[in-house]
Amino acid sequence: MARIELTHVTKRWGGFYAVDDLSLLIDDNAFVTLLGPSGCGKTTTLRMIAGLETPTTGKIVIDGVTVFDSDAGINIPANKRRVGFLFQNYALWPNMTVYQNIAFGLSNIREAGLSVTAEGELIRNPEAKGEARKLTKEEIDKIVARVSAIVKIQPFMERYPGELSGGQQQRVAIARTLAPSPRVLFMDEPLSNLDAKLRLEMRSELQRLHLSTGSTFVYVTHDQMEAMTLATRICLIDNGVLQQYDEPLTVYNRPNNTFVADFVGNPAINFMNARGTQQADGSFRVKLLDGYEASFIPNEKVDIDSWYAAAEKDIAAFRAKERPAEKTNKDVPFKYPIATVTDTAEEKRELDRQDWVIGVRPEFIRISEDGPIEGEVFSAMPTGMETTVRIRVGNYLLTGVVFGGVTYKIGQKVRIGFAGDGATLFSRVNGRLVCCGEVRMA
Amino acid sequence: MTTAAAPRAGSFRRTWNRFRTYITKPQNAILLALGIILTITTIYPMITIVRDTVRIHPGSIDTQERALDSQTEVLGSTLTTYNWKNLFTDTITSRVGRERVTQSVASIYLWTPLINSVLISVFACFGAILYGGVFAYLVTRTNLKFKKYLSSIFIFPYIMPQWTLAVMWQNLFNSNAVTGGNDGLFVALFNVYMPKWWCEGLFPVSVVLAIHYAPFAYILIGGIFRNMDANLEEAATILNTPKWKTFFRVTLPLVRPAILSTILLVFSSAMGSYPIPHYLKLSTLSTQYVGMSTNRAGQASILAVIMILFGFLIMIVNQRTTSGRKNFTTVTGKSGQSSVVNLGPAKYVVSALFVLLTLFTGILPIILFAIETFLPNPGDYSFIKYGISGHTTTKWWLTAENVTENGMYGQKGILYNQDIWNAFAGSFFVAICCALLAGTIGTLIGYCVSKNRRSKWAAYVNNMAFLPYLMPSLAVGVAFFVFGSGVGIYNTFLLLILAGVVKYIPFASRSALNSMMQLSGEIEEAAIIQDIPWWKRMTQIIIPIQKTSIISGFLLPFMTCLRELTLFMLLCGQGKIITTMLGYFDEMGLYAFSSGINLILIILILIFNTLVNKLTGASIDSGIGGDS
Repeated sequence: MARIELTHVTKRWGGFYAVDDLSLLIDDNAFVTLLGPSGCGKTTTLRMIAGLETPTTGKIVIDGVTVFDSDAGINIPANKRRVGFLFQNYALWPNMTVYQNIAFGLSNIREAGLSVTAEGELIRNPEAKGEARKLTKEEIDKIVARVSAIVKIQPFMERYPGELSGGQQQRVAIARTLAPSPRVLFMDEPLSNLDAKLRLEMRSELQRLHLSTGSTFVYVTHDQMEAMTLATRICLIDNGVLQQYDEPLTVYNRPNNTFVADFVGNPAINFMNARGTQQADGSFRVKLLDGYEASFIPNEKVDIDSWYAAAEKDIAAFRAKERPAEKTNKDVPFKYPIATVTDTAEEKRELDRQDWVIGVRPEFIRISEDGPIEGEVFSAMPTGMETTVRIRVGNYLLTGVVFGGVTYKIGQKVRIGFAGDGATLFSRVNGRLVCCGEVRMA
Repeated sequence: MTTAAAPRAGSFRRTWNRFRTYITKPQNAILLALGIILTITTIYPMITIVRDTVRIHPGSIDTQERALDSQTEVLGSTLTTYNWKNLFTDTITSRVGRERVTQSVASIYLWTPLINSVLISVFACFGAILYGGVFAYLVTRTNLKFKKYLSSIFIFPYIMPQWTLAVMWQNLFNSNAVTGGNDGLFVALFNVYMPKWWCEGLFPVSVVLAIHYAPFAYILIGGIFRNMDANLEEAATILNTPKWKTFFRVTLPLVRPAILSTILLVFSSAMGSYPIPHYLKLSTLSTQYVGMSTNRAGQASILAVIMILFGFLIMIVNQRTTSGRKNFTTVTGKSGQSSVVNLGPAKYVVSALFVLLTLFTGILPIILFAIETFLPNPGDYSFIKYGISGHTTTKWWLTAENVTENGMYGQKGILYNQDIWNAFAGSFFVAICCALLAGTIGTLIGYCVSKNRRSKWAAYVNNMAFLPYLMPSLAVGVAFFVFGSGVGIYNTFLLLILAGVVKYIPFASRSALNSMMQLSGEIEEAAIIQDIPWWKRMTQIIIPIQKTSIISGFLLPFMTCLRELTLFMLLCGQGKIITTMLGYFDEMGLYAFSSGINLILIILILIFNTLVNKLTGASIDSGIGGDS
């Protein structure tokens, strides 16, 4: 039904760039999550698309209609964009019953080409000519009945929001949003106020809802798990800048940079600093974990010099972009965390092209008798289905996940190794992904 | 050429587009309109006062002087610097007994009243905070007895007309021997003659002002005490901090903002108060202004300018202290139970003390006013000794025809006196109009400002609306007097309503802003998204949700207006509204009439307050800014 297109959208408050030059294409019927740490600009982005916030510059097109264009002076207000918005704290009107909450918006529609199907679905045809009319009481009843059936709130129609539990309020909010048949549904952290169990339940219901309504969903969250499980595509934002826009598994397996790698995945990815050079066969011979020799064998060959040239050109282009005000939120490379037992002083030297960061997801850390690396168990957290183990190697800590209820003793000596070709190699100079591949210990 | 012109045209269009986007939002359009209107209604009358100080007033000293002094011609035919020059440089020689005493004009007309004004303001602040603050602490944090009764009676002095307590002070302590006039109750009952300093001047004015404004302190400070998370103090207790240290290092800093706002409000209110220093005979800026009105009209305006400057000063201090840093969030949501200090057996003593005090400030005035209306002669309490019959009368109430004997001076009894009831009707009319207008405008301001929290213009409009609050009432009255005389609407309801609205908008805008700030913006956005028009959003969502505080925003202007004297007394003739009528009877010496009017006024206000409170839950507390 609706495709959303953002072109060079920027939102700035004084010198602070809440959203910096964001271009995004959201396909029809997609379920896109805007993901990022708090304050990164994801909610601002959503509110700009919905029309609740006015971008500083840029262009937004919904369903072929330009709703905002700073150059052409177009700004269709939120109420004319025909979108649905689900708010973080539901924003139910406390002075109205559940029924009134859902019906209030409907009773207000006045346009030509309205019809309601037998199932209670509102059909709106903005192109239709003829006399504008309002919905009749019966039609509104029908629509309310339909949407309240979808979210199963029929027993509560005469209650006030204050008399409902958090989960029920959430359902009412969803019903209210669905009632006028919006082309697009925006959701701003809709599940963050629910308890863990209910959240899981609502998550699967949202997925079903997306399927049954066939509308385009744009969903803001800071919970990477929610993004991973729900989205058809994840749009990861940090500091107002788009970091990666891909399918969830791509984001997980091929993170664009150390920020993405760190943000997505729980337990978090293990980072190791490494130093070495590319060999003639394309592999990288590096030293890591204070003295272990290893080679990183890329899955596909990378010419490191041309890779650097391309990356630098890209960075230069971003920096050279015209910004009317001085940027106060500086873009420094992401400071990826390296887990250590005791804090070590940061090494003070200029990084060069021989510095790398290797990322290994916890599931690729193998504990076995013949592992090449010696360590000891630092902590072990069994949940029943799996056990998260932190292993101390020298001063470093590596996190691994072992399936099944294995019990480890704290302080127990173990040997570990890196399995599979799912490891990632980043440049330490700019934090960008060089390639994926296999870490082979020497 | 074209390359240079293109971006300019583009930037113009961009500015125009931005303006169009801005103005299509109702809150912005309202803000723009109100900002302009309020700037005019607030600033313009003040400018007219400043101009008035250099204007020539026919029949006052500046005209006579102008004929003698050709130098003033420099300023043109209608302007003179004489008023300033005379006030600050000249001297007056007067006869005191057999000696001729020479004093500077400034010391009589300016410095003495100014110093007195500042002193009573400072003492009133100090007293109000001490009395109200201690009471707030006792009610909210200890196991005091009769809390419910005490907390409702404690705010009586604020609800009642300002002069109530001053008049009661006179009725209690005056004596023919010390102050002249009638003997008060103390003399009549106990034959106790209070010294002069106790009966008149700085001391009683300060005390009465402090008692009158203590409810401010109680409501503001009590609001914080009530909502303060007990965990904050418990955390200190856990760390084994001594109780007094917890109080001074944790509790007191947290109520500091409330203390500051009390100081600001009380200071300017006390400074602008006219009736209290008038009744208790202290020369302050406000009484001096009224006293020197016709002969030295230009110089009186200089006094008004000084009061206005104080208002600005307070506003600047207010701005400094309330912005950011030291405004703590004391409401964190958790921990419903606050720790209650056990007063032990002392609680009965303390409770009894406060019951007694509030009896004096809250109940006794009503009784005294009632008694006064049945006395045949003012201050004639002989019925106490000789019994009711023969020593009391109902003539003040029931005389139905014009009689000149009996000390009625041709007035009919209160119940039959058309003039009195006309004045009551006038007061009600003004109060209703003021409440409706000020309440509506204030609510709109609160709404618009809360929608534009970051905007500088919104902050400006908010300040402009708030400014009259910090201006001494008399100064605002003077401003509208000069303004009203200038445009020819003196002695019309229009002028009274205009002044009342400007002065009382802050009551409404404050309570509206407080409550709107707590209303999540999403509540309205949820309606915007569904294309619900603005007026429907207001009438069906915002106003119903916030109805209690919005009604408070209407209630407070209404009640204040009913009992307002200082602001209105310069703006109309004496028969127009009830408070000026009351002053007229006082001047005539018909104290039974003024007491009767006082009685009716107080009882009406109390009934009205209780009624609205019971019906809607609204109260004057939230209008003043407390959280209730």
